[in-house]
Amino acid sequence: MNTRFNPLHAHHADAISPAAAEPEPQQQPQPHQHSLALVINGEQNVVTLAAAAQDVASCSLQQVLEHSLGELPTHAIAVALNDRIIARSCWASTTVQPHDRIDCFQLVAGG
Amino acid sequence: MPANAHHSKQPSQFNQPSQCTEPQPSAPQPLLSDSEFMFYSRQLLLPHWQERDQLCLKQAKVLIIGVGGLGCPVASMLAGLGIGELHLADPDDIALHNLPRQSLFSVADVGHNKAQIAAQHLSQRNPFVRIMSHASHVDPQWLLQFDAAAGADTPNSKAAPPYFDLIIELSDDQASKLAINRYCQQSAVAYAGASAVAHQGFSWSFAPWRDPADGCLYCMGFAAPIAEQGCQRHGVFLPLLTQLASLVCQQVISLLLRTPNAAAPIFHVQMPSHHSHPSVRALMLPRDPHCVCCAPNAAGINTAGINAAAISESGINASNMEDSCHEYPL
Repeated sequence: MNTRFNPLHAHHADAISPAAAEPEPQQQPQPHQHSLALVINGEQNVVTLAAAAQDVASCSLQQVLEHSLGELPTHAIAVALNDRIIARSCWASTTVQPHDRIDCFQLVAGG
Repeated sequence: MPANAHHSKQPSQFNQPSQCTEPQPSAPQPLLSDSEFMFYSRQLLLPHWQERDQLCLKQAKVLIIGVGGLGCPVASMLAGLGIGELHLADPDDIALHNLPRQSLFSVADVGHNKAQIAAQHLSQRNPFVRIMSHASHVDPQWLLQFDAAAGADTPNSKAAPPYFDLIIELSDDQASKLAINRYCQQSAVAYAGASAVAHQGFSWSFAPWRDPADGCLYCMGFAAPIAEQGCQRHGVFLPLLTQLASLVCQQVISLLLRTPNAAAPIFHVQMPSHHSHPSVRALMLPRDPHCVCCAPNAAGINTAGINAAAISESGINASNMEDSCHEYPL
């Protein structure tokens, strides 16, 4: 990844719980059931959701992004959940599911 | 170099219906000439491409803003496809570093205006397309003035209807893309475009007759500050430009022919030069309920005060709008 150009420094997300966005060491995640694909500027990462399957739906897109990106970028990025771009104002109210795909890409101005 | 003829606007020209509509049984239908049939034969041979599709493109009025790395291939393809009236706008002159990726220009053109040279070149390639150049910075005010000048016989109480069926924004200016987005939303004009830097970019296409739940550039977050601007700093990968230009043209065809199952409004393209595979993602764009541009309660540009009378009082009229506009006849 070209980090000089790409401000989205992808921290590889080991685990995220729906409540506090912190991993729960006592609970072993099941990667194939509770993971989603996070693609940042074309590069794929796997985010593992450390939660029971019934709780995963309470994990918001914003939580996943905060956990995975370190802090939410203030500049222009677009975020798509399963090929639908989600407006920034809806990140907190949009929940993610196991096996979802999230695409983040930097919006550029060039012609 | 063809002689530059000032674009002579006649009111009747600007009031001809340009939308692609179903044939009316009583009205005589325009037909392609034999020469046009021969010229466009290879696309008329395509399955599902009929003569009325070609006529629909012939009736269209399209404005391209920015005749650079994206604008050159898009203008070239649209001229080849047979867009009836193609306007090219760019205030910039050709520089040496433009030549590798801007295929409409040659070394002898350095220092000349991009839009004018591109229009000259394209008018020689397709004699059936009416091509006009504008060596101007186009913004919503320019468009409103152009609309008003074209619709001079519109009653003073009404804003002039938009002149263009479709506007394509391909400049490198974020503010311009947003401003034209706002104009198109408020004027119900179809809007397409693309943006690219280094190895990634995206294209868009919006139309008022598509799903009303579709969003706009503001909805996808494009109004936030761009982290680091432009090709001047990061360069741009030439194959990425041609890929995006092809996607824009496909979206343009879909918009002008009003294809029922239209392509996705957004394409994101990631095209590394090595070490990885190219990626093209087709993305949907639902409207942001809080969008400052296209949400139902968003404040729009003020078009109410711009009509023929206001234009007359301000000294702007069709003749001086034409000062920077050149048509390239056969």
